[in-house]
Amino acid sequence: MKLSLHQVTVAYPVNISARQQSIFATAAKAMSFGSFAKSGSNQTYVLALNQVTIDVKEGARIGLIGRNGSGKSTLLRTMAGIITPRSGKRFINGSVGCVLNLGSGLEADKSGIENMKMIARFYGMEGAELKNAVEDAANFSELGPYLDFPVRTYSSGMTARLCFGIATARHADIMLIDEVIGTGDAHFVAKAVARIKDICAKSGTVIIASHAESVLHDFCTQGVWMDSGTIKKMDELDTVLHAYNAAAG
Amino acid sequence: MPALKEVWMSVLAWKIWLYTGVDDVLGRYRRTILGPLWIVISQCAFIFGLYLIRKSIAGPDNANYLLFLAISIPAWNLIASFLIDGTNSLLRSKGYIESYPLPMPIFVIRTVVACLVNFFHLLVVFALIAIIYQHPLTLNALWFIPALLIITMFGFGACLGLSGLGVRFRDLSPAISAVIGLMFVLTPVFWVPVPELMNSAIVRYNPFFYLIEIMREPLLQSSISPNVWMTALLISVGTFIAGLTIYKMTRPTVIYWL
Repeated sequence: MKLSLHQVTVAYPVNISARQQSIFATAAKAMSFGSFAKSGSNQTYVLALNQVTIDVKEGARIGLIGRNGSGKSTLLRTMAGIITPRSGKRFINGSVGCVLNLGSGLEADKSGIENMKMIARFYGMEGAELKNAVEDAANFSELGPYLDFPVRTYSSGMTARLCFGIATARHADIMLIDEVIGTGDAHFVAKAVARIKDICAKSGTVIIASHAESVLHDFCTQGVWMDSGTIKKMDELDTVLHAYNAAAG
Repeated sequence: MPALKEVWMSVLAWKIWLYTGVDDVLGRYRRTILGPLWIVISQCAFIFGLYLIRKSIAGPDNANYLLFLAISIPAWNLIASFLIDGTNSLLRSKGYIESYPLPMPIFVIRTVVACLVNFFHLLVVFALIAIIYQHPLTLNALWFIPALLIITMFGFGACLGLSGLGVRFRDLSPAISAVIGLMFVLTPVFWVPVPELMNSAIVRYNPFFYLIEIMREPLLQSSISPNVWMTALLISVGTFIAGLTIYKMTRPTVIYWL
């Protein structure tokens, strides 16, 4: 297993004017060598990751910390291969499991069990593996008869249980988890923590983004402090947390 | 992952795109009693309406015009949906794309599958009319198979190219819808191409005519000139290559514009 990013930059375009996403304005600007459709069509970008280089060793347990908007989620999504860097290289060798964006992509009119099957397919499962994973996730979610109800009738906590259950039902070499443990009631949080411990035991490498220091202490040995799209510090977890808290005042 | 390799990986992930594509069609009618039967009903109503207009203008007609409509309208719908739905294919799958590390063209092929499923569904009306009027289907109808392959290649290329552009340029989808509306009138879909019109510019330089003709004529037992086949094939191959090229160009930044 190997995961590394080299000089990776991710910049999101910020769209303020409709002209920025208009094919006619873009064509007019190109054909007039920039003299037409000038105002409002210049694109601005937000640097989410700025020349980030990180080498994740096999068996690493990394906790990502940082303020909101510091680049933690973008880093995880780039590692997962969801985001293509604008520059730099991503190297990965091994299977990736991710718990990102819980609830995103669910089909509201489909039942919980149908959504679980669909997500399991997205994770590459089929046949007996799919069946076992869905059973396991159904047991974990404790949704019982509600699993046959359309997802649009679920509360946010129920949705989180469903998605977390299926997203963590498969073993992967590298597990990427984004700020999901705080979702739901105390009973769910306890179960989620136990399940992540199980994942950590099975997976070679785990990277978790969280604001909860107790969660990071539970699972991680190393810490990465993200700040304004860059890695400010990477070291032992306690050392990084101490530096982060000191800076935060 | 290089864009072209990603396209190939997506083709291999057939279980995902087949499931989601078929499910897309079923999903549209999930909360209705008649379900996908609505597709057939609305198709029947449209064809019947056009038939009534034609009958009131040109007098009593035989079954040929009904059969002509019953294949022309689904063929047109297929091409139009490739272009309109293809433009929105990645936008519609935003939730999946941002959550799961899957090759993006899976969601493009999903759209192609949904369009094809819808097309076959609409062909039920043609089958019904053919049975009622005892329209014979000879071996000539087998030409429908290569025609469908050519159209599918066109559809895949169009969806692939337009999907990335549709994410980047949000006014592309309404612009294409407007053009499709115009082309519906200019293309012999609901009007029969009489010989005098065959050499006119709106037919000769209309790519949609060739694509519809190769699907329509085998089922209507008419012969097609080799020129029409070659032109349709060239349009499909050209669209496919252009689609791959545009996808390759737009792929690196498409996730940022979603």
